[in-house]
Amino acid sequence: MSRLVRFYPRAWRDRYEDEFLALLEARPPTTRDMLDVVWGAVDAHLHPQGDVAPQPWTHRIPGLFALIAGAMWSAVVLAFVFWHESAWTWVILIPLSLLLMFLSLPGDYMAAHGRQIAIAVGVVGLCIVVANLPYSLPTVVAGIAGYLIALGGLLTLAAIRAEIGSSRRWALLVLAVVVPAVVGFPIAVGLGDISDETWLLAVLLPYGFAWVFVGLRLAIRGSATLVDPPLNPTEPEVRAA
Amino acid sequence: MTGGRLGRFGETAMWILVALRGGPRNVVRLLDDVRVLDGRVGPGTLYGAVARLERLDLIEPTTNGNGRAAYRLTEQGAAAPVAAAQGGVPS
Repeated sequence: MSRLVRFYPRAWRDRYEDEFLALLEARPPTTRDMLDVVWGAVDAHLHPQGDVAPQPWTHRIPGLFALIAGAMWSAVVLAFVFWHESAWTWVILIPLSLLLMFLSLPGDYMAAHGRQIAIAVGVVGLCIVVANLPYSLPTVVAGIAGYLIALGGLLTLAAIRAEIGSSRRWALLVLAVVVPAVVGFPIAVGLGDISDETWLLAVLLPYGFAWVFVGLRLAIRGSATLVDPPLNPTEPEVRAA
Repeated sequence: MTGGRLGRFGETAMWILVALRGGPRNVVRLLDDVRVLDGRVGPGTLYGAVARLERLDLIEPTTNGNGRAAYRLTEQGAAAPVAAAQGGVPS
């Protein structure tokens, strides 16, 4: 039951979690009750009660961008799987989804972590340059590795922003990027022997789904209530000193 | 009264106020009582309504004899069901 309660915002849990869990223990929820609890959690995020001020609708924008980016990415992958060559017209959605991924990092986050963002943009740009060099195994390897690092970094930043717990965050990153990358890397450089559809489904689709998940989480939570885990945990003490 | 601020929880909130007119209730009994009055209520909806009623100062937390979390009407809340009966079910 405690897993269901985790869907609620932290402020709500601080106030009601103990008695709510006691209620769920005394009256074990049916499937319908579980859906009701999840719906109640969504409401608690959208309409926070108590001392938490309601968020303006603009705080949902970063999450919606991430959600749309993940949906577009996944749509392109699925289009290629099911319609093959005729899906090339959909490819324009990939750079659009990349743009939305950057935009899903809220403005205050960009201002606070401009250096990291600039590095990520630089890595993507470098990958585009490397990928367009005359074909050779090292350039393909470097290009793909760079893309994976940049894409994984973007997803990690968004996951941090969505306040996904540390263990879940890393599990998400490993599942969505690292494992498919390890599986797909030999295929990408011509050493593997499985079909293109499998490569697309194994490597690219989980990445799109991960963005959808993060986008949903970010949209429900809103950006104003997020507290970024500090990149340098000792910074406040240094400032205080 | 407060219907506009209770949203979709208005009806459940009204039943909570009615149930608490019988005295303080722990949350388990409160859920049972509200289900007698309106059988479809789930725990998420109950607490959505409880949080709103508490914010509107119509109910307040207390503890029963077993130290369990319970709720009771405030002075303002005691008058609310009457107002609801006179003005219709809050929306």
